[in-house]
Amino acid sequence: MYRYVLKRLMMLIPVILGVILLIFVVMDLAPGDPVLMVASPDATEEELEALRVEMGLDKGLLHRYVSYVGNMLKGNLGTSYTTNRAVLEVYMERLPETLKLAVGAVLVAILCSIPLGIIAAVYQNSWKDSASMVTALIGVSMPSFWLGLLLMLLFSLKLGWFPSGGTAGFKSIVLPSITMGMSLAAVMTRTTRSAMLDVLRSDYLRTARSKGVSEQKVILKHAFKNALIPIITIFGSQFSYVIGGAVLVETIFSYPGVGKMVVDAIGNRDIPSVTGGIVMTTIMVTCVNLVIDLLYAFVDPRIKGQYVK
Amino acid sequence: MFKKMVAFLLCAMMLVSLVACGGKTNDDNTDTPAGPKEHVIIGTGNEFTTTDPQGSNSQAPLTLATLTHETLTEVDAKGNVIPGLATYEQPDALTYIFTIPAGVTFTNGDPCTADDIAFTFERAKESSFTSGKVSSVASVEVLSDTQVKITLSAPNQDFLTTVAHKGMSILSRKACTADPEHGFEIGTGRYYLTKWVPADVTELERYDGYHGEKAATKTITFRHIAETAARIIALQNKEVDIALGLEALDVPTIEADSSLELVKIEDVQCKYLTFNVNAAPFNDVKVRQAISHAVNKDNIIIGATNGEGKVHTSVVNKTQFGLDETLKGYDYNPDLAKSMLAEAGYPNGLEITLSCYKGSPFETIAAVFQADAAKAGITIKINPVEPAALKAMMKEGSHEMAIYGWTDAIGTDYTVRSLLYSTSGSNRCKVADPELDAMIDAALCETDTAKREQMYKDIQKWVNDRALYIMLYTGIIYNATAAGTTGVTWSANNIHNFCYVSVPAK
Repeated sequence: MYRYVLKRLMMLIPVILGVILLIFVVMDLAPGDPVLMVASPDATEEELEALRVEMGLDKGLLHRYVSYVGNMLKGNLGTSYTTNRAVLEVYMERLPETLKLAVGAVLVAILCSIPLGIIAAVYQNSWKDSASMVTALIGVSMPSFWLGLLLMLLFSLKLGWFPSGGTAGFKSIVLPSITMGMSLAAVMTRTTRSAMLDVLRSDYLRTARSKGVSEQKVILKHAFKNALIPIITIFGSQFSYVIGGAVLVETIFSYPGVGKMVVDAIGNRDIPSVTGGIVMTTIMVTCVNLVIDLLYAFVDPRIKGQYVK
Repeated sequence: MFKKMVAFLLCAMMLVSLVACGGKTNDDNTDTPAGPKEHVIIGTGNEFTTTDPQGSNSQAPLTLATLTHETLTEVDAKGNVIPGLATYEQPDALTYIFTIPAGVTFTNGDPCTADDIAFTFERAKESSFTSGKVSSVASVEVLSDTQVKITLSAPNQDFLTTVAHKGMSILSRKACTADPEHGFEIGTGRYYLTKWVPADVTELERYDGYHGEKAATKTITFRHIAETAARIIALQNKEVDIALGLEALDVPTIEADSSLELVKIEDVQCKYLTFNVNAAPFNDVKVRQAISHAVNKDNIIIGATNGEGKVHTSVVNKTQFGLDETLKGYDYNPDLAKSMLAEAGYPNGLEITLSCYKGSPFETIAAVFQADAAKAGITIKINPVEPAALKAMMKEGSHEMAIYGWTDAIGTDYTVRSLLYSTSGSNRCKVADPELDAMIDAALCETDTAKREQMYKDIQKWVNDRALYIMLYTGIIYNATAAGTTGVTWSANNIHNFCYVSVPAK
């Protein structure tokens, strides 16, 4: 198992190198000069050139790439062009907030999607199935910025239950989590329903029922457990999505996450922040995928055997 | 089974409600039982991108500098220069002597001396944001602990206005030398910075050793709330006490809430259309004049500001010295525009690419102009781009026409030099005319006020006759506060002074 984990972590290296190269190429091709974004509009050509040298932009793409990788190996992800702060420091400041949002959103999604998905599968083609799927459809159809504002108006302004934004305490994570979680829940509901339907028709469940096992135990203990693999897969990809891409929710709720940090950096042509943010996100997503793969081993002993080989 | 699932879902909802109902949400505002609040929170859409006064010309960092630093002079609401940190004398056209009072300290307790003024000017030469402001300074001589003599290389009638710019805030040599990354945060202001998280929160605490009138509020926190609707909700929810940068559409919401007060300020930022006079056909003055007659400013004001803006016709900002208020500009006359284009050799009209920032109000202005210009046979292709791309286009001179805005209201010379001087990076129309440069240089040096005023009027007429820019409108700045808020000096250039803000406790 340890060899499997090590092998997966080693595969991260070419991925990171490839991601950094891609970012450098794309940012070089994007219109706009990073120096113009940090200098005064009245800056003279000499001042612009001096800034270019200071920011390392007078060097070629390959030189900058090698230099960046070398610094990264020493734990230095560069300094933001905009704020002059170390990129790693800023990222680590924001990461806990993003992780809280990711956990909150996925929890909301699980709390909604698992029951709805099971109900839809067990009562397939009934009104309960239709209601569950319509609920899921509504969740995925509502734009997150719109839902977020509605939740803010109702639960924050009218009822005063939750703050409208920021990071002051547990309550401030609830509305962003629900906003994010609703769209995730839709996908997870459908996956749960499909996975359960596949399993519900199995012979071993008929055997269990004929042995007198209660329907509740048949569904939750036997069927659900065997349907977990695809559900865990989708859970992992949704978690990864939230880590990297919750920009709209972060903007609406003034939530200082890494998604908005990277998007703002792209707009400002802040190459170190973009590169550092995406590299760190890549590492996070890879680790999440690794954890998901290891979870499979706990759920299904047959898979554990393959890892050990 | 179904009932159990429903029961589970209901339990989860009850759990959320229990969490929600457990106490007030805005517990970051601790109130004193009576008198003003000790802690004021301001919601702003603008980011504090730097804490270095010499590191930016943007409104947010300069607003911060207003709290933490001081400048040698200040400009009052009528545009008059008054003493700031220092009093001043001007023995001759090239010499200024500034005297700071004894006992002034920086917020780290170090004394502020004339040497710190000298240091500020030395350091200003190294920043692209301030080097232009000190380019006319020939020497800075420390006469004593409290007195410094500044000698200019040529007369500069705007020098005192220039040193009032927050970018020229006095810095501590000792602090900056000891800590190059944060030393510039130390000023002689009424507050000092305690926390700065970019794009999130900036916290300041009152400096009780301030040499003048103490601030009323113990701490001020700026919360970055990017979304305007969220900012208003935060204000209505009393999570913030002041919300900055609202829009015309938000006015009814604010006015309907008796616990809030609307603050309306006539903006000095002027939106304008610019040509690239080096690119055909915009190098032809007749073409530029024709296009100027295809702009319906009233429609643009309705579209972009809900009718609240005011037409502006000059490159000189409102409240600035020398503004020619009689300058008429070009009226909207699509038939005249069409005939002028035909005379210029374009009987079938023109196709123009108009570049602008994405979003409101720039795309709105573009859309309105597109519709009005079509009546004059001008086809406008709107090209909304990111700020980085637009800045690069205008720097390179690869734009045809663009929509932009000019906001600095300190110093007429700074405004006309930036927009019109041949070597200026802010010269968006790319004009390079020695005659115009000479007019600008001469106006800066002219000591007779009446003559100087006339010189600036001549510059405005020169620019207007050649239709280098189509100045559009100045708008309204909307802010909102908790009812009863006092002590804020609201500024038409959006650099508000919160030094004496006072918000009544609930």
